[in-house]
Formats: sequence, C-alpha cells, structure tokens
Amino acid sequence: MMWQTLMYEHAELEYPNECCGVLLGNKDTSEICEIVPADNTDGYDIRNIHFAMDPLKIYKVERMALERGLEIIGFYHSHVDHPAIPSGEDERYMIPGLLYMIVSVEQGHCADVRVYSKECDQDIYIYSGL
Amino acid sequence: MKIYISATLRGFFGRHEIIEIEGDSIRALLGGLTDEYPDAKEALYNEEGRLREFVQIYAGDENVTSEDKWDNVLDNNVEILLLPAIAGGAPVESLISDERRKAVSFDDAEIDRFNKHLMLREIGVKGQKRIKAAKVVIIGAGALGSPVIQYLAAAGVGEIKVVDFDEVSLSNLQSQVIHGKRDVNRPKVASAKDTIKGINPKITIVTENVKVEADNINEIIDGYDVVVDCTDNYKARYVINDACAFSGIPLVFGAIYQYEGQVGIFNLNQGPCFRCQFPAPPPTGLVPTCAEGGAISPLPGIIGSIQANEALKLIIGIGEHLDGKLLTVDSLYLHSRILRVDKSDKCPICGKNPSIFEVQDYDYDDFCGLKDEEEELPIEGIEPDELAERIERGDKMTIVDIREPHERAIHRFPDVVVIPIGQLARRQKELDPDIDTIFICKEGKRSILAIRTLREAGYKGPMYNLKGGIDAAKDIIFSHEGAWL
Ligand SMILES: [Zn+2]
Ligand SMILES: [Zn+2]
Repeated sequence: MMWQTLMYEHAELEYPNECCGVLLGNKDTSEICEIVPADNTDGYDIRNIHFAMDPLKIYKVERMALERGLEIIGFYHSHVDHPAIPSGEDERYMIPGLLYMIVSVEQGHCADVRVYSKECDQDIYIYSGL
Repeated sequence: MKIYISATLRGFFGRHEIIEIEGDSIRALLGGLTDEYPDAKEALYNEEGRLREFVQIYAGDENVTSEDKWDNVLDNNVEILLLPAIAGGAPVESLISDERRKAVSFDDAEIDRFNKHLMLREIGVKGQKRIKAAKVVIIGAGALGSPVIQYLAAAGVGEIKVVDFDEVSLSNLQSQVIHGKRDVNRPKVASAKDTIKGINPKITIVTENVKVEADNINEIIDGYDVVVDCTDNYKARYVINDACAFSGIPLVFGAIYQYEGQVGIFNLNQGPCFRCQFPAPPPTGLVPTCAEGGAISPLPGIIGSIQANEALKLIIGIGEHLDGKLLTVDSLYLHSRILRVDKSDKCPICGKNPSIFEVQDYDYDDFCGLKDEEEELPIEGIEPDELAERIERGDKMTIVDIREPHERAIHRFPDVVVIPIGQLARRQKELDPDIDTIFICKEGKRSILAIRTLREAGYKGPMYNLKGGIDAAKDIIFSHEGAWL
C-alpha cells in the first residue's frame, strides 16, 4: 500500500485525536518511501489539540531504518477540524532541514495535506502541496 | 564519553553519528560539543541561551533534558543520546462555539457600524458574530482598563463586565483616558459604564464596584469567555490567575511600570499559567505598585491596546497570539521582545506536585515580611509629626532616602543620605550606628524592607521607619517647609 494511504488511514483512525508518525526516505532526494505510525504520548485530555512522540521511540525507528538503508526525513501529524497550517507550537518544534507534514482531518475525513520545512532561524516555507 | 547524535540532528554536527567528548556531566558534555561544533550552538540554543524545544537528552533511558540534571555526575559507561523532541499543538481556535456564533444576528446599523471589520477576510461576518456573542470581564478600570474597555466596546463585544473598587481621582486623569474631569470622586465603574454606553448603548454592561478577592473572584468570572487583567498589583494578579487556572478561563494579562509594559496569555487550553513563570509574588517592598512607581501617560494605551487586540484574536480565533508567551515592550528605547513561558513541573497549580488547590487570598503582608513575625524583631516606626519636631530641634540623626531618583525629584527631602535599597547592605558603613537612622520611602513599606535588609546584613545601630512614608509626611513636613519641595 502507498504510504499516503496508510497515513490518511492513521489520521482518520485517531480522529478526534491528533495522530503522529515518522516519515522515512532518502534524505538527499527528500523522497518519502514509507511511514512509521507512532503513539501520541500527550495526556488523554489534550490529545485532540496536542501531540508528542517518545524520543526513545524515534531512536529505535532510526536504528531500524538505518539497517534498511533508510533515514528519517521528517514527521507527520494531524490537525483535527483545523486547517493543515502549523501552529506556533508546531513551528517551535521544527528541526531545520526536516520535513513536517500536516494532515487536516475534518469531521473524521482527511481534507487536506501540506508539507513544511524550516531553514535555520528563517521563515517556514511550504515545500509542496499534495 | 560517547554521545550518540540522532540522524535528525546530525546535520549540525558534521553528520557524525557518535562524537567523543571529555566530561562527566551533561553540562560539560554540551559545552564540549558546542566548542567542537560552533555552528551547532545556534541550532541547539535559542536567543536566551536555553536549549531549543526540539532537543531531548537521554542518559541511557533516563531523560536528562531538564537543566537541573545537567550537573549530576554521569555513570562512566552510560550512553548519552541527543534525540529530537517531536511535538506540536493545534492552531488557534475561537473561544466562541459555532452554535453561539450562529445564534447572533445583525441589524442594518450594525452592518454599517462594523463595516471595517466585515471587510477583513479573517474577521468578516463570522468573526464579527463571534465578537458580538463574546462575554468579557475586565478587572481594573484604570490605566490599562481604559483602552481595553473602550476598544472592546468599540469592536462590538456583546457583554462587558467591569470590576473596580476605586474612585476616580485627579491624578488618574494623566493616563486613565476612560474618565474625565467630571468623573472625579465617582466610582470608576460608573464612569466606565457611561463611556461604554456612549460608544454603543446596545452592549450589555455589568459593573461590580468591589476589590477582587478569593471569596468573590469565582463568582465574578463565572460564565465569561475571557478575563482581561488590568489591575496594578500582585495580590489581585495572583487571585485572578489562580481563579482562571482552576476554572479554565483564558486570561489576558497586562502590566506596566514606568516606561515598560508586558502582555501575555495564560490558562488557554490547559496551557501555562502565570505561576508557571512567576510561582509567587515578589516581596512588595521591592516592587513598587503602579501607584508608587508611576508610568508615562501613553504606555497603558500601548499595552492595553495590545491586550484588547489579543482578546479579540482569541474571540475570533485568528492569528498568532501570546499564549504561553510574555511580550515586553520598552517604550523609552522602543525595544520589544517575546519570552517563552513553558508549563512548569514546579508550578504550584499546574505542576507535578501542586500545593494550591483553591483560590486563596494571599497574605501579602505576611509573605513579604511586613507583618511582624514572632521570631522577628519588630520594626520601630516614627510618626511624621515626631520626625518634623526632631528636625526642627536639630536632633543628630541620619535620614536615609531609599526612593528611586525620579521619586526624589517630586518631593525632595533635605539633608538626607540617598542609598537605593539594593546598595544598603554594602554601603552600611556610611551610617553611624551611635545615632538614630530614619528610613524613608514613598509609602513606608519599602523602608521596612530596608531595615530588615540591614539587620540581616548585621547593622547594629538604632533604625526607624517613617510611618506612611513621604505620602503621610507631605502635609506635615512640607507644609511649613515649602522650600523643601
Ligand atoms: Zn500541529
Ligand atoms: Zn502554572
């Protein structure tokens, strides 16, 4: 199955909470090959508006990816009944150079997806719309 | 020691996976790491020198990102991991639900009146309906309250509650532009209500002529969408913050001092509260209130307008706002900056081990040591008329003025030693312990703190506090010594 389909399914499955996961691929070409869904580790009461991933989980994912010649090239998460635009908090957590994909889930269905990337202390650019 | 750098952060470290650095604590290792990779410093730390949010440090499987763990001695063979933190939040949502928005309608006059808002893509009819559906409490109808109340009324907020215990005085008119000369001696809430009615008689106005306290604050804010704190003292600020934190009502905080002001939003969507940044009030003696400290006339206009703008953005659900941030504006040199306020584990309300479970009146006098505690020696006071007599008799004594230079410029006290409160301990040799020393400030509060400070620093001479400060002495001492002014 295509990684896009998996990501959309993950986002819809987690609705009305935000989902999150890792984008694996080839760093040089920024080509996404697959996704690894992760748990949203934020508190039950705020998972509809916040998400967080366990850093040790990311560590495991990147070790596994390496064995298969892949690399973490970014992360995805969903916005619940909100546009696929990064919040101020999203921006503060962005690591320069990585891709950040946001899926907007409206009424339980994926409505939009956008990708962002940040250069060091520069504005955020929309890398591409899918 | 060996540090594993996550692939996501390796770009800052010459793409190295493992880096060997000498050191036995996180602080030492981070220092060594940024010495070796200077470019990484900018990437890992923000302008304030704090680790950026996206960096997490582990020693084995223990998270040691928090700075209080940086000095612990590390096990020799533990693996240090530099990992990414991946997190985020949803963008701004309006405080007003769609159901409430849809229940609102406009007449022709309103379409005309709010035309400039309706033209804006981000506001439009939907946004204006949210504004009309909104219920806002403004606490304090003084300097900050003046612009906040007037702009929120003008913007079309449907229900405005104004809370203030005070009456308008002549000296208020320098900055409290909601009141006029004719309002002097009237309750501020009555004057504010007249102004709001003058702007738009259709607004529902509720006024409460009371001081906010633990036993009335919950009832005051109950049922409102947002609270705007326009008070000028810490006691009220903490009562308001705590009530907002417990009830989950967002708070737009504002404060001014001299030429500088601050604005922040707290308690929004379980976000940080005021205590996350300032767990407890500072001692009163060290922080003059606005009444004591003074402020340039347009400053509350600037700060209050930003508060009103933030409140409107929350109501409409647009833009980037000061949630979990503190904006500081220096009107004298025109600097501004935004400080990040994180939800704190140590916060007495939202932290891991909370110690406050309901709104309490904070015993301010007790906290800052102004109230005589049993183990503490009482401070001896001197009444203004007694001091006047002693000056007239030519008694040998030292009068120490601990006020700020600009305060001294208004009421100069003759033949005094001027020592700012921060320098007292180290300049105590300038005082003669064989004669009486009398400390003066504006209200007679900071002078008590001054005496305590000197006692703690080991000063043994007799010390007295001018009761009520210069304010109380004005009529007695200055009236028959006009030249002193
Ligand atoms: Zn987000
Ligand atoms: Zn807090």
